[in-house]
Amino acid sequence: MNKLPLTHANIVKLLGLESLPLDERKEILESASELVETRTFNRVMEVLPEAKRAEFSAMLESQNKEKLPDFFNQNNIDLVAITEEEVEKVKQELLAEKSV
Amino acid sequence: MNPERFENTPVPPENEGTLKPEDKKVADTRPEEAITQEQIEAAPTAESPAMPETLTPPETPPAGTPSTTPEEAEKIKAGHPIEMPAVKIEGAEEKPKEAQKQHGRIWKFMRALGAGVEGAKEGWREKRTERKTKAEEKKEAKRKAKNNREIEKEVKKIEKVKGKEAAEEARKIKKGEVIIAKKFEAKQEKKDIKKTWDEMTEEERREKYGRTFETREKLHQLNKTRANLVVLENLFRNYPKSEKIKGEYEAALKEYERVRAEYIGAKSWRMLKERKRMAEEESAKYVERSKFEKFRKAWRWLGDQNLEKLLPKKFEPKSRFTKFAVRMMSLRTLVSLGLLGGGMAIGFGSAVGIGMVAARRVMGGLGTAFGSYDLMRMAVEKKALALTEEKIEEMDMPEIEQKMAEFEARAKFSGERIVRSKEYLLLRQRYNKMFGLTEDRDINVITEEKKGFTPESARKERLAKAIQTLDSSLREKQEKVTKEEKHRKVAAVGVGLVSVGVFSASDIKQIFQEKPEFAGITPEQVRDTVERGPIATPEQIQDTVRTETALPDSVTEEAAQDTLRRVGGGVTAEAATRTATEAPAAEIIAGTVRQGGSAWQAAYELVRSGRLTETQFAEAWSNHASVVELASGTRVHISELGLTHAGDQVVYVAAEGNVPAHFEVVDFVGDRFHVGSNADLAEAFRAEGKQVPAWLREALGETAPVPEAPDVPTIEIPENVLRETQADIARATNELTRQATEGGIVPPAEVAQRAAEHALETAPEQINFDWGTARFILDTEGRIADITIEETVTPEMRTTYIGQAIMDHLNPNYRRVLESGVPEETRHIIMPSRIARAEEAAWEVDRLMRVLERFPDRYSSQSYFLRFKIQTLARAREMALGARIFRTFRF
Repeated sequence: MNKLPLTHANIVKLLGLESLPLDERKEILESASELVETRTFNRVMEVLPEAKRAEFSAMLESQNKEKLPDFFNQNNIDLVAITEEEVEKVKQELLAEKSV
Repeated sequence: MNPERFENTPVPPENEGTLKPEDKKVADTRPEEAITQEQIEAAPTAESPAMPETLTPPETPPAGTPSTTPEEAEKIKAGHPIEMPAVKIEGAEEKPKEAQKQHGRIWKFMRALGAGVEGAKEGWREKRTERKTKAEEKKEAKRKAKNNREIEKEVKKIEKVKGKEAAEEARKIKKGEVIIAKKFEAKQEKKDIKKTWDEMTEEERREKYGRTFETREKLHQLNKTRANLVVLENLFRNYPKSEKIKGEYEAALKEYERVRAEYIGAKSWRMLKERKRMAEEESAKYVERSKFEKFRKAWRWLGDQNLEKLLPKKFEPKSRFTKFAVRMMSLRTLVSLGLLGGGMAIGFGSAVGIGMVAARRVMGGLGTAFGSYDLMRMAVEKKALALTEEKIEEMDMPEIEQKMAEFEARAKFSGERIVRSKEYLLLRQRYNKMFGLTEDRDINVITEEKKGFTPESARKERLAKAIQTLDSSLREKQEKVTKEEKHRKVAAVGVGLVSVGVFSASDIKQIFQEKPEFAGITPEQVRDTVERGPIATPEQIQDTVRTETALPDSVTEEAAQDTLRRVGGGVTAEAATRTATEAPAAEIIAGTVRQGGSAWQAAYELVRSGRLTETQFAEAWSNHASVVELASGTRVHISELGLTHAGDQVVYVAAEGNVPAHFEVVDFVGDRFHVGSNADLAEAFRAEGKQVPAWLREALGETAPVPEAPDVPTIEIPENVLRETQADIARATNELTRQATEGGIVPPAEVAQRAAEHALETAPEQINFDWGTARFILDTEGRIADITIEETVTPEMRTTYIGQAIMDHLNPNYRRVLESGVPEETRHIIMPSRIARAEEAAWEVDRLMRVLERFPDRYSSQSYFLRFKIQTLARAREMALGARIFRTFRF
């Protein structure tokens, strides 16, 4: 059986962290967000062809940020969908970590 | 050393003065401290070059020295020789008493010397390697010299009194004591390493376990609190009426939850940190490390951009509500909301997820995009949210909005129900008062009183008025659309208005049921449309329901302009358009019946989406106030509402005044059906010339044929397992009975007795659910003998139910548990069956849990019986699988 999607699951509730101090909850959420962020970046790099990857790197390096959204559109990269998938993945991993 | 010295030593006779195993001093010597023959043989003589000369006596006498009494230890500390016990040696009777004593001392010394040498050598080497500075070495040398001086002083005294020979012996003894002391010092150090967690100080724990210290610490605490909880749980089961035990049990439970959260938090944090490191390692494949930070900066900038920029053009949202959502949300906010279950899909779900907060911000006119809204920053500690009524009264609009947003963000973080906060309700009350709203969610009602309004609130009032007028304008424009579109749009507007909270559920009901010509559509037109066949398929209707109304932008823009002309300036057309359609969302909690679905499913979907808790759902669903008035005027409880159709709305109504929280059902006006009871549904089937399904006839008490077993391809229970079930249950019952005698649970006999004490007249023999029926089987004396469950669910529904049951009842690592012990080479054959059996067991338990929910009185006979039954069943399944797969049940 496939894993149940956790799209609408609140990770705080899912892990039973309601009674954890707020700062610690924030810390976990921040860590998870950073993980998603880094993985999303890796995914984008992974799907880009070599030439485009160089172009993308150059854009990032030159801080030519304004062109990034257009770049994604031209290369059919759905950043939002990738992010969604990565969030789901992190949630599943955290759920697996829940076992005591 | 010459071993022959010992071999030639005469063995003491078994008479007075000899050492025997049963002698106290011998018996006191612990095995690990006993000196072996090898040690004795390896022990160097006093003249041996292996003898470390730098050894010093300990500052305190070694504790627990096996053959040293406290008095002797004091003497050692003071540098005096100890008096050794006399040892009678065979063949030495003629020797003077003093000589015998001396001999004993030698013997003892040699033993001690041998024992001490190995430890001393080791300690000496370790000591030497640890010396890092010359100052330490000097200090050590000084200490050694001082010791030697003291020893020599003592030896000289002895020499004066007893002669040279005795002095020499005393020297040996003295040095031996030093060695022994070192030996025990080393042993003590070794013992320290073997300390248990409890014996160690926090510093020692940190030093030993390093990075895993936090997790280990918390796991240790968790084990302790769990042990305490188990004890109190058993006590509470046996003495459920004791207030003291109950209080202690509740406190222990709370403590356990807290410690468990800390442990899982620590584990999660470590896992995230590790995965982040791995992800960064992977990034290094694409980016040079030196450029990494620069790249990260640009990437983070991207995270702050709104989704409108980032979505691929082909996925550009068409719904205005969705457009709003993507315009107002950043990628990073999306991640935060995704993690907090705010809804990730860029559709209606996400808009509802953010609606409460986003709408508030837009309505507040704070001017910042939602993308910059930082949930993490907004969430503050509870104590920071403490507000008095007076303080709230003094707050202005932006302050109130800020505080409300903080409450909302905190609720997301804590999983709490925000409406339970008195402060939040007061804030909302004040906020609505500033808007001039007499009732929550009813933005149409604006009072004429403007006293006490600030300029800011006056602007909000204009905005609210704009919304109201714009809404009317939208309705006018609605009349101009084509006939084919009307059907779909009316439905959508109806649902949409409920969803965005412009109208209450009862308002919608009134509009569509009592105003047959609403929006220019007559009942005849609707009938014509229906007779000609549906213009919108159920899927389209559902899609419409989900994505809200989709009027052309030109229409809304035009309406907005009209509105502005009517209400005057102060609000831009864009803002008015946006606000009108995106105003307070998520205030009304409603679920939509899907095709093939039911009211229960629509309501339970609210739990899955995190908008209601299980408890809220259960309380509202079983509440007597959850009744539905049918077209015939008959009122039925929502659980008996058999006939529903795609698009019908199930609305959760929070408790207010004397009316408890309950569900209401709003009939979907876009179809020709009305909601109805089971009998109505059967009638509808017959009218269509179709056969009434077996489960429905069963529910109606008609002759019920044996229902067909649902086809569930994912669940396959081997026949042998089914055969074994009876035996398993019998074994489990015996096991539980045995446990009961040990104070674990309520024994079966007591269950029967307690059941008999409670009247069963009020208990329905059959209880109906959406997924089937449950029936208590009573014995001749009216006591519960057993319960039968019959399912009437579609395979699709069943899979959903099982999925939920797995989440609720099985340990998250149940697959791993089931895997243990199964040889790797046969796992691919055996595991699917084992997993299927475990998951099926979860659903079996879940069904009984659902029955149990119908009996909130935990002392009722049904409740007793069901709790016992659930435990028995779970244990039976676990025994069959040979694995602990269930979570602890908390009834």
